[in-house]
Amino acid sequence: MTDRRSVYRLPTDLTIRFLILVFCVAIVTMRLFTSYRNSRLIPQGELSPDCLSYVLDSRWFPFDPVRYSDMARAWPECFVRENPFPLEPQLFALLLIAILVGLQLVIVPKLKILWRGIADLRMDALPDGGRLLVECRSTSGVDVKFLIAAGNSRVGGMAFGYPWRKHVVLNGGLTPLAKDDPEAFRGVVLHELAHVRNRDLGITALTLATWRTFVGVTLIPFTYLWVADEQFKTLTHGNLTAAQLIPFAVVALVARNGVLHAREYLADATSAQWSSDPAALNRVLTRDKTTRHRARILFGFHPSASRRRSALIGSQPLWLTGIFDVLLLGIITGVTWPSVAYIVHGQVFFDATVEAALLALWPLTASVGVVLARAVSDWRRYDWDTRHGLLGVTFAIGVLVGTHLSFTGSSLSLFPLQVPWLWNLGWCLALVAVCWLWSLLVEVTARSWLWGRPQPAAALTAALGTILLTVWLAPLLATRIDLQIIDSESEKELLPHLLDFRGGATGIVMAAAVAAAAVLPIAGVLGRKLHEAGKTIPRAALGSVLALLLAGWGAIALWTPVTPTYSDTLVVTLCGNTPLPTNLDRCPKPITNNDKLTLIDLIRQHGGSTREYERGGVTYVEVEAYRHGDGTRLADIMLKRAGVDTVVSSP
Amino acid sequence: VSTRAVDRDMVIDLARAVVVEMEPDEVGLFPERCRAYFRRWGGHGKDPLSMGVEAWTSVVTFAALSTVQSVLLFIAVEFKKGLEEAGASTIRAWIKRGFRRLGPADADTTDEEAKPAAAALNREQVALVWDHAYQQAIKFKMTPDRAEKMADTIVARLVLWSHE
Repeated sequence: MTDRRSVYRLPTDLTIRFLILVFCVAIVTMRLFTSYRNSRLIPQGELSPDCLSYVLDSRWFPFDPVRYSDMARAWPECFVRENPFPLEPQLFALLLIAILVGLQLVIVPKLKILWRGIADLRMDALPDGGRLLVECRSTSGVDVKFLIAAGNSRVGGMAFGYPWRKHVVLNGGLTPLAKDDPEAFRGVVLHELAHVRNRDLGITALTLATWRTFVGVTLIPFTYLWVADEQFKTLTHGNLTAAQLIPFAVVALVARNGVLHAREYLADATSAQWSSDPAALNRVLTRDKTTRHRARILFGFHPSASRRRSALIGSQPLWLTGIFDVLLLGIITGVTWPSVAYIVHGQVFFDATVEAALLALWPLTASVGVVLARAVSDWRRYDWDTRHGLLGVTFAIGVLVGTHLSFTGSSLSLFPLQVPWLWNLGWCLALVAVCWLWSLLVEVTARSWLWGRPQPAAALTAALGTILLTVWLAPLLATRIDLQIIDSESEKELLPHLLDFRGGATGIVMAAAVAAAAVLPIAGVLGRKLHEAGKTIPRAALGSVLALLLAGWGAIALWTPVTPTYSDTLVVTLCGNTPLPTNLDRCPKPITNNDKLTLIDLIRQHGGSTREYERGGVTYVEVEAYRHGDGTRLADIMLKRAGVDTVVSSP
Repeated sequence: VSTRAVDRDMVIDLARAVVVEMEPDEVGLFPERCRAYFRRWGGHGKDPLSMGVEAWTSVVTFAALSTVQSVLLFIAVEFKKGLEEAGASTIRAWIKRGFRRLGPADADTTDEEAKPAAAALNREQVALVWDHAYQQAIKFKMTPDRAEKMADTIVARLVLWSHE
């Protein structure tokens, strides 16, 4: 048991969960502050003539989001009212979070002592004269000050304090055990000392402070703005943002409790290890007869006593990454990945200032790789044969849920999702399959490298996994974004885009991988083959080959241009109505001026550009738009949507 | 008559006697527990990094403090009507004298000052006091034996204390 519980200290569950919480809070808060800043638009009627010309110029055709963003930055006084924050909104949000968290770290321990009536503990006041406490302190090797919460009759204690002054509080209800059941008393005291030894004080205080800050600077201000600020609500799709914030808050809360639960398990294990008697602590846990609802456990500070008992005395490995952790990671990844994809592809379809916040997502990607690699390592170590597939699919489900939580236009600056459910389902299945395959490959690699200590393999597979996840999921999600941009209700028009992997080797390989992954998990052929290969082929050799394959794959995928570009120009000749063209075969149905304007407006909305000129009595409009795998699809769709069914085009 | 009418020192004295008699191991933390009791510092099990076990131990000190406080209030209300306006010291004196009759005779029984303030309790009234103490102790989930012991101790200490 000792070996099992002390082997993985590198990336613990705590780190992963804490990262989820911090990213969740930081990103949502920064985006909310930025949205608030950007919602303070100046009405055109209040603009000076110069500003009005700037604003019109910035929006004028051909519309260029980068230019718009640059102009808004250069002449902010023409676009939005004065920044209500003393710093840039995102910086201010981060600073505010840091200050509030820091303040809580200083103040909360003092308040706890005052409000709970906690007093110094006199050793001679204990039934055994404090002999057990001295012994426990000596066993744990930590220097703490013991206090007493005499009014609390619960069997237990509490650890808190500062890095320079750590306290362990004994409840009044614990002290009788020093005489009645000394081993149980030792178990509880060692549990609290284990919190100190495992450095839980700081991380727990940080976690709680982060959550409180989230409530204080994000949830409450948003609620106020939602109710009282009509402009903010209108410009940032207040209802949509509210619908997003609820799951965000739940994820943050559950992540917070995930940190705390992990520390309790670890403290129990450490206590049992020090006392060499898990039964004593188990006796204390058995005293808890209360039946708690699952939701209460999920949102509470402590896991249920029964789970703690099974972790304490059972054979279940303590460090296995939980299904729920992976689901949470998937949700966060799904929410954030489209944004990462946009950064990767260098496109700016949303407020450029959000990019800085999104860059912070890369560590999250790394942590995703770490957690899966660790899960795989655990599987290898403890022989949980079916766990890898479950984790992969759970992660994929999380990604899907997260993607569905992302919308465009809301104050969280994410993306919309307006796709017929059938295609939605197909896309989801493809994503699940990719995730499954990805986790399987990571697992096999990790398994092959695990001839010795697991940490190097975990780190290596995490790095490779990160690359793979990036190059696989980013184009997929980018494809999805196209679906959202097109916003078409016709399934015929959607299909090519759903299957469009932007051409090139990556697309073909990914399509093959998706097909294989979608079929083989059901039959289990690939998994069995790889499992057998892992047994027969020397592990180092197999690991090296797989690592090389993965690295090569990643390199190819990174090297291959998978981004849509603006370089392909589609020249569309529209038949103008003034004067009428002489060649009616080329232009049987002249378009009206309104049709033309609608088309130009549509193309501008989607980031394309147009140039209009007249030659020989015919009006030509040169359209520069996306070029997709099938060439002119996007432009075609736009033309059709504009009601222009007759065009002459030349590449 | 509010609980404030009952002298806190008297409650502490009697409760301490009960604790000494019933659970001597709790005497060490008696001052801290008294402080917590009167300031209503209960604490809850929702702290992070606490043990997180919803289980309690029966602490005699709190049972004693609560029972004694309740008993003294009971005496004040039941046997001395019209004490609403009386101060804590008056009640203390009255109780002292009320129980004095039950104890051995001494010089103080002729204390003229006490006579107009209090009539002695008869056996029925003392039995009521004992029964009240017993019921209060039972409310703290004490076993009947221990509840009896607590009631005995309280009544006995009241008698002894009235002659000190």
